[in-house]
Amino acid sequence: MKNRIFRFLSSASGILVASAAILVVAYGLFSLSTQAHRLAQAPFMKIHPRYSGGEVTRSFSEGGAFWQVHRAVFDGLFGQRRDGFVQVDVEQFFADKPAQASIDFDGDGAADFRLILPANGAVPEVEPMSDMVDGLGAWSRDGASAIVRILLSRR
Amino acid sequence: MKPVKSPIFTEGRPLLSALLTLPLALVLALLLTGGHDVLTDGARLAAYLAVLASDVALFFLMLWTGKTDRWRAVLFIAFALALSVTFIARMIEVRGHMSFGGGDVLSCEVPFCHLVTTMVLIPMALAQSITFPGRIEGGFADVSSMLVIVAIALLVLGRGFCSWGCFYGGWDDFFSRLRKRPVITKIPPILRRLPIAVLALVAITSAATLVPTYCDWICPFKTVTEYEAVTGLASFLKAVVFLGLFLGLVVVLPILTRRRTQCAYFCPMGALCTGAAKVNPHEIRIDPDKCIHCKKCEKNCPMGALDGDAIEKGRPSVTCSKCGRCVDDCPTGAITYRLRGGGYSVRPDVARLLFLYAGWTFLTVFSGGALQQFLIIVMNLVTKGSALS
Repeated sequence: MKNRIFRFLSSASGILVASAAILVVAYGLFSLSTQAHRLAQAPFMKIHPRYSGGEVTRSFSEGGAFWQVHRAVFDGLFGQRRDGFVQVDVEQFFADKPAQASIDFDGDGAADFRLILPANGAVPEVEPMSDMVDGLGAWSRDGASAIVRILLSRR
Repeated sequence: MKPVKSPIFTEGRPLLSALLTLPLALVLALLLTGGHDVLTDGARLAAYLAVLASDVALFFLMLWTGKTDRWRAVLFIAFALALSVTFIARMIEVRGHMSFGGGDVLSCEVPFCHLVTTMVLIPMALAQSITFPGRIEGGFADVSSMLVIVAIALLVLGRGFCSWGCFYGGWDDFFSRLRKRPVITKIPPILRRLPIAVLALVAITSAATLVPTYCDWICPFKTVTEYEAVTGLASFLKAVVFLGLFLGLVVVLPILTRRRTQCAYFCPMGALCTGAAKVNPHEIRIDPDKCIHCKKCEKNCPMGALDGDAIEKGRPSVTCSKCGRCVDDCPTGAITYRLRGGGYSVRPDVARLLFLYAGWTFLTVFSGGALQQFLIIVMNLVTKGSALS
């Protein structure tokens, strides 16, 4: 008798768990966008600054374009690395005219580099004005928009 | 006396099979719309109805014939093909080509696939951030949607994801079926542990370099989705590695061994699914008393999960993806689907039915969008002469 009750209970619990699994699949996929939105609010759900470019710290209009300067990124997994970059997003007023600006990314009042965007999507130019600036890193241009990373190193 | 396989309670009973298919059909009718109003567009409605009808028909056939793997494989392989075609078509529509360049990386527009999960876990835990140039929310294949899907798969299917969800697995599943007899028969069992080593390697190197190293250097499926634009020696070498691994691990070796070599011996996601195996309710069990040692299961297992040792222990090895081929092939019914833990006393055919409801719902809904889009592309090609909308 005891054995039969145990068998019944274990069967029932197994079926219950397996049925719950079916509901998890159906409900989970049905409410995917809601669940994804909830997950997106979690503290670990942000793109690492090495990919996102970090937060925008300054924005201004100058020399034929609107410039957004991100914070300097040296972030590693645990601490700061020696090599990093600063990202600048640029929106040119006219794609067929060059744009340029002197940029002070660390906020010390002195320009650190001059960034020049030649007309019609040509390779950006960087003129270092500080020891930290190594030169041009990854960049992309799409019409009047450009994303440019300037390589930095701590000496 | 030789044990005889007893038929599954739905086998050869069309009315009962149809009745048990009905609840799934109703759920799929709702879920396969994907939140779209399918009635407003003729092509979308036709694609929706065709996918719904084939998904329901395949499930009915699983119940009616008592065979699992035969019908599962049809949808699983179609999913892999449809996803690659629709993915590439989408990339060409959005970018004009199949490769991604620096602009896509800088603007964080690279689609996130489930394999990337293995590379972002350590940075997520330690640096509270995702080391991948994708979108957190919104857009195509965003990070949060894919992580929710992976969580559901790990919770409900475990390693079953490799045969009931993964949109790459169908490629080597297809190639592993092309020959009747393998050319290479001896594969060292130790290789089953290789995915754990690959997982450890990519997780650690990705955390150390903050680059998803598997995607960046060794993912064979870049060949059938998207790849880094060849702009220099490094990107050229990567393209050679992607193509070489695809041809080797996904095409040639599966044909020669009749095993899913990429999935069984190289995939880090497989190792992650194995790690989650204990939390899901379904498993494959072997009754050594019923086994007549015909070795059919051993020869035919696409994941190389069965051997004498596994039969003696009463369960397949860690690479088992619950595809059901051994269950179909076993002449004595020694291999069955079972409910883990307390549910071991549940009848195997009831356990199979419960697994099929979960596994088939996951596979059909996960594949539904790609298959419908694939049919729309084919219809566009026929009616407008162009695949893109």
